[in-house]
Amino acid sequence: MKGAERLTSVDAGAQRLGLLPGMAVVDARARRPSLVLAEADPKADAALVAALADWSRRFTPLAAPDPPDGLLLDVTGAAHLFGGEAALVDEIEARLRRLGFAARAALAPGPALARALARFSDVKLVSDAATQAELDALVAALPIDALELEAGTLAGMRRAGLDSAGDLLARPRAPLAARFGQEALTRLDALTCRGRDPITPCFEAPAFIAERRFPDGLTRREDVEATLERLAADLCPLLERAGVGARRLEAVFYRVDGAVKRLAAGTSRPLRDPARLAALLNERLASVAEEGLDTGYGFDVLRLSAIEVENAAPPQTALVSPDFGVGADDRDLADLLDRLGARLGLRRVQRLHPRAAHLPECAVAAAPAAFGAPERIPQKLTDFCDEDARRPMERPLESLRVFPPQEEMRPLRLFERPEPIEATALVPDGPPLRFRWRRVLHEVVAFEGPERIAPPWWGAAQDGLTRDYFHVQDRDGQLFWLFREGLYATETAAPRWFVHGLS
Amino acid sequence: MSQSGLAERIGFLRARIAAIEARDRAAPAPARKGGDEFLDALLAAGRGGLSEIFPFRPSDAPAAAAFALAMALRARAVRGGGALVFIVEDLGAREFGLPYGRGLVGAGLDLSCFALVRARRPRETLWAMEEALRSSACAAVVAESALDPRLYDLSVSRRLLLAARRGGALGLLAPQGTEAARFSSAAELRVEVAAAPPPVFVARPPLAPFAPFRWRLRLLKARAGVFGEIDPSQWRGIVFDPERAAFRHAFPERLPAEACDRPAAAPPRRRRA
Repeated sequence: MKGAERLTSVDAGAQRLGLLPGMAVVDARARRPSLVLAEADPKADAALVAALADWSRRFTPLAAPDPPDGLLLDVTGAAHLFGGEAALVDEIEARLRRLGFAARAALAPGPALARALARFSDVKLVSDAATQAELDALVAALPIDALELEAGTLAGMRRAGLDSAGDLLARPRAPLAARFGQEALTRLDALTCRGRDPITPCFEAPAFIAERRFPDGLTRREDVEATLERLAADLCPLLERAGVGARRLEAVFYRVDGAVKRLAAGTSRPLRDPARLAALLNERLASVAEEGLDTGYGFDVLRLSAIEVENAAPPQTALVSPDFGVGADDRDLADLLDRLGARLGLRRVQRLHPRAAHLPECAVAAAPAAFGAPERIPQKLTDFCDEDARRPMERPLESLRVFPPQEEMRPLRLFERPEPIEATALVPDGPPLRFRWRRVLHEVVAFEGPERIAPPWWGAAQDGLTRDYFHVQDRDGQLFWLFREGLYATETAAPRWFVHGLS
Repeated sequence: MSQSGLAERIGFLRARIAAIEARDRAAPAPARKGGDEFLDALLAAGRGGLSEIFPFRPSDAPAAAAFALAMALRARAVRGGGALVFIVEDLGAREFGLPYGRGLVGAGLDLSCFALVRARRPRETLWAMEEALRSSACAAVVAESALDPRLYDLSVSRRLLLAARRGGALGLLAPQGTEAARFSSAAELRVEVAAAPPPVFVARPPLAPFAPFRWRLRLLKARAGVFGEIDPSQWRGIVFDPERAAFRHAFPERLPAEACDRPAAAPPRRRRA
């Protein structure tokens, strides 16, 4: 930095010697030759702060990292769970100290004031009932570094003789804005809780949460499963009151030693039934437990939240429900696919959707059952259908179109990528006589074709060559779907053959 | 022990076993004797329970899977609804490809009640098959898997059979890579399938009609006592008609005559069903 290695942070002993951040290493070594240096790694620091923010979500779901070395928690309304605001601040400091960090915490009515108090003052708690005069008096004692302005502006303020925020408060506002910019005034107002802070951290908090805390940690899996059932029972009335059903759930487990584990489950239709939600989560837990759900010393906070919800009208129940009726079938099938997807993985349980496309590999899209039908029709050869399946769609499954009966025969099985073969044909653009696939020679006894499929002309010109498809049957009776890629003499001089499917 | 006492005991045990089996079954399948024992054995087993479809050679695995699909379609037509779940393993998908939607539609399948499950290992396949059979939403479950005789034995197959009976579905297992003689299972029907070779009358003829739905198969095991003796060495040809979702005997091929030899007006043909 600036042409020399510089210190980024120093500990208390070094500070006593007069070493400050920003000093060059050579100067620091000159003062004390036996200095111990460690390389600064800002990325790892940021990752650590993010992990701590995750951990601090056990106190409130609204937590965000406050770079470079802080956390910001919104504890509005959550303080009573911990026995009061003072107790909350003490507990946060104690837990951080137990994790091995030196921390200072402060609670204040506004985020900017809390940040400033934690960094620049010893005051830990500003109660909600503080008047504006008290807040002003508190802010007056803070140095102007608490405003977090640019170094140039701060230097200008110091030159003008303004050293603490109290000096700024005592001056009239218009000349301050003219000299140091409107930003300074906005920050000052945010500090005294008069105006909104221009920088608010983005808290992502789900709308529907149910949580349980345990003084001792939960270690046994049966206890975790039972708690998940109770949490699902707590969550469902919230969903019902809002008239929505959950499409994606997330269960977060906070361990006593600070680790956070997450479990997510998705459904193919909005669910509100606590038994089914709990069953899905337990399936997910079972599939994770095979690799090892490390409970360590136990989980002491479990939180279940519905991340994605969808409008769900209450189901109409018939007087006499049929045994194998149509409505019951759809629901049962959706539940079965959800259970299979929870254990095997959502992407491994797929439904097939016909698409209006010429290329055989794009004519059918396989979308995971938990998502809806894909919308987009691929335009390029390289635009494989799997890309659509990665985006969750909102269209319900009933939109599967049955498309008109086709005249051309299609194989029952298709390879994901056509496999190259060596084929010999009588004429370059005729059907194959024999071909070698996977080192086995097959002799063609019967064939049907050719069927010409050209790449979409509206795509890029270099994307694909015309394909001539043949159904062939070899001497043993096996059926193959081969194609020759490239028209002889017009598109390519040496057309290649591939096998695309089997029947 | 005297001979008549022995026969009495055996009869008593048979009655006990039949009572236990009848308790599990939802509805006893009526044994309808049509003309042919072979087709009847197939159709009766197709009403529910567990069937195994083995390929004759390892390269006949796609034909075996197609036959399993045909039996599943027939089961769905008989039940009049229900879903079809197809379970494929990663290894099988790489070797033989995945089921193709357009081809399935050509076989008469409605894609809105079809689900494709991709499992990683045979253990997952068996678990998914049991779950799907037990839920009453499925009419048939087809599973292709590279099974090992140590993994799939009497107890596992018995569990699958009970699950199929409870859910009223047909379970079709198509093991790949191991020959049939090494498995002992509680399945009600065991069939070995090979692709039907084309008749070589004319050089390079066009494909026969219903070419993907023609197979040669032989019954290795069927529910004994109802259909008399089955001959495990006899190969029969069979055809599946996708429009009617029905099995037919494979007749010898009739190729249309050349255009110049055909009469001006076609004589009325009698269809043999």
